[in-house]
Amino acid sequence: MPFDQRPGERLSRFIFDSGQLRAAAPRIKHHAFMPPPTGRLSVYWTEGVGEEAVWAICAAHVTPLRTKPVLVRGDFNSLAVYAENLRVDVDGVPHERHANVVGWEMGSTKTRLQALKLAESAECVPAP
Amino acid sequence: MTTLAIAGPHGSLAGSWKARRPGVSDAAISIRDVITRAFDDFSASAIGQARFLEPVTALRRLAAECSQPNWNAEGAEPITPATLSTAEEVLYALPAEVPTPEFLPEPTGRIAFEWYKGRHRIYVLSVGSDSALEFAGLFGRGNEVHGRFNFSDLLPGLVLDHLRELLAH
Repeated sequence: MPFDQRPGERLSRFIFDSGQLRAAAPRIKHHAFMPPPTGRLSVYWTEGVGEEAVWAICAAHVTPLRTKPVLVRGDFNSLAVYAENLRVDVDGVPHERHANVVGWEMGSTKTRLQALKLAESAECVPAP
Repeated sequence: MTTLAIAGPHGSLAGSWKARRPGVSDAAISIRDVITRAFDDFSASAIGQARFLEPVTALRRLAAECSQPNWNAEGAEPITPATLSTAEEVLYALPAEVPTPEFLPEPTGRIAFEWYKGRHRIYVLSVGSDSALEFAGLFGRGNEVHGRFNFSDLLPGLVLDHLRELLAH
């Protein structure tokens, strides 16, 4: 199934650390969206995927890499990525729906602003 | 009253003093001791606890939690003692009227000072192991800033203007 057949595709980032969530509101903080040193921010392309299947992907491919249970996922639109001059690279590893947000200018102060805006655009969906 | 007495227009005198302690003459050492005692007394007060001791404790806890590579299981770089030291200097340099920020670990090993006033109203000051501080802010849709400056004891007026803009609304 090719990516970007719609004007905007839903992407999801799974959040395991309560420190990345605001206590007062169901919002995600910017550092959850800052790219790692590799410049590849791991997300899943969840457009058209049912709720159970989204969380099953997390349980099978993301949770095993962490030491904590998943708390929420942050859903955001690929248009928010493009608005920041970033790109979505669907690499299909370890799951066909896995993708990375790429194109960050690592070392630029713009990266933090981009992460702030992506975090602000994300909507929290609590884990079941 | 103590807070007002030590706060300057662009930062905290106590903070600057704690961050840098120049002077080697007898007079300088004597003055340093007096100010250090005053600072320590202030730090032990209720206001001082909230202003310095509690945030410093939070910073040190954060640095300890993120002191190893890959602390976020996504390849993050560790927060080094040098970064923690810079963060404490920046904390001391914050003017008294600026609320204590929240401290967040960034994947690059930097520590972010974050002030959040609501959706699309956020300011982040990021501290690393050197004197280069980075900032990014959203002051409502379409009103955003980002940049870098060299920190030396006092925060520049630009950052204080950003914080006033954020906190004024």
